[in-house]
Amino acid sequence: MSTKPLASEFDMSQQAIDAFGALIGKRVPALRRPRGTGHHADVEAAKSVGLRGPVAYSLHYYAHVSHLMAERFGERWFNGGEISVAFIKPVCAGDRVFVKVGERDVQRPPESSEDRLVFQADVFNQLNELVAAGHVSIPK
Amino acid sequence: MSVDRACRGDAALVTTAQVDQASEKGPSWDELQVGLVVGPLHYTITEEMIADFCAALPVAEKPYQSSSGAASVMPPTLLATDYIPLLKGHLELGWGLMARHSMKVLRPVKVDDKVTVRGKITDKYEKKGRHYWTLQYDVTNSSGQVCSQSTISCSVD
Repeated sequence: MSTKPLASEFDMSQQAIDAFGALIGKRVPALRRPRGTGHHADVEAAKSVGLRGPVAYSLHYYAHVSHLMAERFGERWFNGGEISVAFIKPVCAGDRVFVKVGERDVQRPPESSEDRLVFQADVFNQLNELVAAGHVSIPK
Repeated sequence: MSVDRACRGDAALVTTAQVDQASEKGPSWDELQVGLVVGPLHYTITEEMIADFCAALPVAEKPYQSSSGAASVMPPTLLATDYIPLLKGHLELGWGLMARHSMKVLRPVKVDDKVTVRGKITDKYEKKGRHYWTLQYDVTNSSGQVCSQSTISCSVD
């Protein structure tokens, strides 16, 4: 990476999951759901399908990858940024999430042209398990 | 596959859960047609939407603010969850697993911009006994310029 690796971390609390989920219902009222229901909020519902607890929205920590790029690159991110992330393991309420960009070498995606700066993007949980991985890029 | 297996970390499985978002039963994966056009959704982007999004993550609003301190640019992924309302009534999301999300950010969306979100089902396939769908969806501004292009692939049970 031509700049210092980017990193952030945060607690994926139930409150954080609820807050992220509420954004959808606020934008589209027809999708509002009763508080505390579903696999994102109801412990028993989550456990009934084998989760450790209520599951986070994957686009929640995905947004943190984008935010790191916005913080570092600003307009370059808003005018030509690209992100692609595969989700590997669920993140559950109570997990600690670590978002890292550019910390390890990236395998340049074949479709990426040479006129782009490409960085590895990784998300880990508190057990240092890779829960999501992919790449981000900006025009050179 | 049970989600239990996913939580135990079977590396061969792609596994972040994205769950019963739609409260009403919709059509099944079998009924889903590749080529189905979904949307449009219309919004006017507001400072409040940006503030709410940043508070929920939680992150600082600074990268999205003008020099005056007011929110001026929409975080590019703010509308990424729109696959949920786009698919409402077209596919019962039920219990599923998000496999991948990709986005090209082509130009900024500014506060007060009126945007439209539209999508199209571009693929459906079976892999390791699971049913997957792929949706491409775009955010365009009032001038008809495409601001972002997203592709999402998820399984649905």
